[in-house]
Amino acid sequence: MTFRLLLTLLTSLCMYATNAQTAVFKGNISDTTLDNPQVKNASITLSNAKDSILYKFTRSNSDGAFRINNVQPGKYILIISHPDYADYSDLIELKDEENTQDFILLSKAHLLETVIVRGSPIRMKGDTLMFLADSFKVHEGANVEDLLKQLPGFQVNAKGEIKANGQSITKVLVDGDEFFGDDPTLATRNLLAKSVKEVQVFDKTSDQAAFTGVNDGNTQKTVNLKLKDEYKKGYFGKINLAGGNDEKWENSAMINTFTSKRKISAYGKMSSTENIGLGWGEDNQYGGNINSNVVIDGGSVSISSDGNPLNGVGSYWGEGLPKFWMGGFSYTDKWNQEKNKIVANYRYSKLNNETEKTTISQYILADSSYYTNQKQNSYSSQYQNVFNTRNDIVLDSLNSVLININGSKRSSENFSESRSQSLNSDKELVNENLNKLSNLNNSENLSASALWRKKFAKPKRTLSINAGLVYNKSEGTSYLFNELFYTSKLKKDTTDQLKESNNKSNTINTKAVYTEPVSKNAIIEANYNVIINNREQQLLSYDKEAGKYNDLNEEFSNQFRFQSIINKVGLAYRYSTTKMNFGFGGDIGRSNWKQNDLFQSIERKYNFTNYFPMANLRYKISQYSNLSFNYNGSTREPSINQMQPVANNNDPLNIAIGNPNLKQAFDQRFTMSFNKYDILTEKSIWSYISFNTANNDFSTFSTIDTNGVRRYQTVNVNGNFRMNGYFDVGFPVFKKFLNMGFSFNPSFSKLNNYVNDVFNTTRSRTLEFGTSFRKNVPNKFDVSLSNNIVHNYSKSEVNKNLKTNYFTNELSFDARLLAIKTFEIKTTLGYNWRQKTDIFTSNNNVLIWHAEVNKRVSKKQDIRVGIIARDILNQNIGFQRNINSNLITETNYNTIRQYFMLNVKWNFNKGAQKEQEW
Amino acid sequence: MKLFIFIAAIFITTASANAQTPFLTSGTVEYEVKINMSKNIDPNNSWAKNMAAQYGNYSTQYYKLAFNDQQSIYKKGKEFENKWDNYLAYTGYNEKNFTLTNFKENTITQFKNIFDKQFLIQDSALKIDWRLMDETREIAGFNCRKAVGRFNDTLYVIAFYSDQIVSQAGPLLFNGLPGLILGIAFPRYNYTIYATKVNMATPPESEFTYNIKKPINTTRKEIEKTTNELMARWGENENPDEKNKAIANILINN
Repeated sequence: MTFRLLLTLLTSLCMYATNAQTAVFKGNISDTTLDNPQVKNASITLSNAKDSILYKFTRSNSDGAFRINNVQPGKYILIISHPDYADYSDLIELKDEENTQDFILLSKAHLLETVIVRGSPIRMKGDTLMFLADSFKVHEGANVEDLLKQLPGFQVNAKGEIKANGQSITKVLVDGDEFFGDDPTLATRNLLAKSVKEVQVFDKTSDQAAFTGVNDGNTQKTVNLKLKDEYKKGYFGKINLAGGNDEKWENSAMINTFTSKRKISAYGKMSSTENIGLGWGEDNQYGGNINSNVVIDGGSVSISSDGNPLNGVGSYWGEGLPKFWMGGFSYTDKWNQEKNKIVANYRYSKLNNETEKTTISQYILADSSYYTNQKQNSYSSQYQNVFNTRNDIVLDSLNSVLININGSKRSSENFSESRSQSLNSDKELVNENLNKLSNLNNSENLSASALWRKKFAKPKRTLSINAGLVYNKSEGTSYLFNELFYTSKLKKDTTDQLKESNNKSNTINTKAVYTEPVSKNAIIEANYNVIINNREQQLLSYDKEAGKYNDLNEEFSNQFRFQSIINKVGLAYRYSTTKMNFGFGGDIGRSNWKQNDLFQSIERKYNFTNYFPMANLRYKISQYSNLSFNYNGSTREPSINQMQPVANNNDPLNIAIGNPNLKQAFDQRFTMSFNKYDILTEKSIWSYISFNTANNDFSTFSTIDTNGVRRYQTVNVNGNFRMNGYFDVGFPVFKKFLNMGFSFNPSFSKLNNYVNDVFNTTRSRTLEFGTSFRKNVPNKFDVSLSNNIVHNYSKSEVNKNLKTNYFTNELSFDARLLAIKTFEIKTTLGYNWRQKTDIFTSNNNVLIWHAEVNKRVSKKQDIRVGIIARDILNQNIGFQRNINSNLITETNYNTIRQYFMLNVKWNFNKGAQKEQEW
Repeated sequence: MKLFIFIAAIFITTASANAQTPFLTSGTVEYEVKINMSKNIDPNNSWAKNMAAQYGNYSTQYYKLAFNDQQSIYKKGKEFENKWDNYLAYTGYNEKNFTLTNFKENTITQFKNIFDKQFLIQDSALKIDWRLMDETREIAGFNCRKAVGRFNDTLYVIAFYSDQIVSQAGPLLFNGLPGLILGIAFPRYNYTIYATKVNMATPPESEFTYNIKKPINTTRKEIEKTTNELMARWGENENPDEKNKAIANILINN
């Protein structure tokens, strides 16, 4: 200590000696009213007079003396402060010498409170004191609390408690209403100061007094914040108009108007391009998508969607030429301090589609194979009316209720005409077929569910009970006309039938889950689940007789009822910390099935006992690296079409027969994943592998007769196995000039079925290798080049000589360029190469080139004009190759090809929000 | 001799000197850090909004500042559950971070765990231009004066310090006021640090030591550069304000 003291002393002296242009400021501080006049520990600060920046400070010693060395001569603001005394402040000038000055402080006890009144826009109106907010300067982004601090007579403490002229403010209103609850800080800390027009202070009479009109003298000091009109509400939206050659159009208009609590949006769209339906971002901002749930658990965030019920009609996967129309609106409202929230949506959509496709199929049989070539033209038109509502009700801090109601009415029409030829392994014609099918279907659906969630005072002890009801009804009428010509018999079979179908189903699903904490990080979860499922399907086929369809064909007619009751109870243990979480447990379930064949008056009953094991582990190796394992088992019920004991001859070459003896399938899945990302070096690894085995899996038992007619039935098989993996590494190369990535995506499967009474195992393998290069300079350009090579291999035991073995390759180039500020150029080039095989001999190699140029015009840059050119080389084809056990198919279909389109898009908004680009 | 007495007075504990108000030269301050996440996140980002609905609007953390006349260390205080930690990790938040300030040498050693890398940032104290204001507020039982600090040219911070604690220490990189900082408000980033309790016991020397295996030694300039490069890669440097925000987050968030 002594040494350090001396050192400091020396340094101080040295500095004092070397710097000539310095002043010293010293003196004594005292309080004359005390017996002991020296004021110790007072802080003496010097701030530059010109910018008031703190320059130097010291403390008075036990004698009340202070000294500041090495001061630049000049003008300073002096502040002397001490907790027991009123602050002393003065403007002083220090000369290039020893400046000595003594100060006498005034004890706080003697200090009279002074009120500063600024001559400012403050008005009194009746009993209300009003401040014009814009007259009080606050920093950019300041909240109301910052504003209140600037108002004369206002004090706001660290907790946000407000006092006006010494009286506590207990209520803060916004435009006369409570702002999301009773806590004044909610309003003062969450509202922007600049959104406030006026601050009003008044005494609010009690609710009782307001109700009775009798002033009971109970008043609350209240602040009312009047908002500027432009911040109260607003709207945003867009209008998109696009038209091109080849009957291509894509027009839409969307608007969202909002207030702080209410949101109403409306939208309409019509399109004949591949962009039908709403985009994900549009769905969120206009469509009121309420079915995506964000679940945040143990640090992982998953966005799940049960499939937006509003969609249904509105998906297009590149097959055919679509025409789409849609209109809808969405309403969201919050009230009762946000404790009640309702979302209601309605949507109408219609999709017409024209398709032309050719399918080449190969059926691998023992010692031989069969081929069919089919050409099909079809037209479909479907429309739907859908509504849904979601009600969130917070009953109190521990109880909440969520009610969902969905309803829909759908209708569809399909017409198709197809011609096909079947060939045997010697490529000799076996049959020729003409099939005409027209179908009209109407369906109604209603579902409702209520979820009650209860928390208890003990953390992590919860109870949730969910009850749901689903009701479906559909009716269909179809006409089937088919001419099947057998080459060997030189015989023609004609089918001319009217088919009527009626389908009804209802499901009741109730589930209760209770969690109980057993230690700081662990809970035990118990659940009980009852599912009651009733389905009934009537299929009636009438042959044409004397020009009338009234001869019931029993082979293709049936009425079937299926009921299943599932009771499940389960227990699970879950442990979670920030580093890892794991859980294990299982359910045990009893399923009771009852089938009634109402035509044959046969009743069948089955009972199953099932185990549903579950185990998972997620380990966070570091912030950006984690490892997880997952295992579970579950059952699958067959569909009613798979069970109903009736033949379906819609395609007389492929007759499906229901199997009432089907058992439920049991799946076991094991997945493992490992991810690592290093943000600084940009190296990443993503990997995933899954194994899936199924007992009593649904497979087919098919027989193909010499005439080329295939009959098949769903049967249970054991030993099916699927494996799928994904490995991806990414890293920068050439000193972070480029990002490079490699991916490997293998999948294997072993699937069993029966072919002409022979048990068959098909082993398939797909190996996909990807390479990619990307250069991205944000807001300037983004260029990427990638290549994917896929090898497909498949072999069926029933015919070991026939192997399916081919490569496909896809090379693509993407560029997005923001050349000049208001210009944007995008282009995509893709080359698809598909190896021919012995059976699939047509040329499917295509080069597809898309390009788009956009320019932002108008002063606000909110109008975008662009030209879109799709498939400039006009080479696009619809192509799909499938390996499904011993059935291999290649399908070519019509799809959207070359078109050019002019596009104008106008984004508009007023108020705080605007549409986000997604 | 007078000079000697003056300097001696500064170093001699003054806590017992005043009969009316006790003065502190060493101790430990407990802080509550609150970040209004719902205001920091993009109000139009429905994903972030969902997080706010799930986690609450605030990230609340507890830190402590141990100080004596030589140095101070700001680090994690009592246990807390910070559900926002994954989100904040992008700004350099980590429970192991600390800020060690040496007043004699005017240096600051920051330990930061950024993107799974351990950085030891050794640099001189942050230059802050303080302006003392004519406003007081009571924090943790201490009467505090308001000061507004400016650093990095455009960043402003509000501090509340108490004359009653004879130390220039403060949370994070904020220090250099004529008393210990008990309150910090960083309004631009909806970030506040307020003392909840001041313990008078002198902290043991071991409080100021650290043991980190193989840290990456760096300076504030370098880490700022690295961060800026990252932001540029993510395309977030177009708006100068966003750029500042990143720097502020990386440097200031513990």
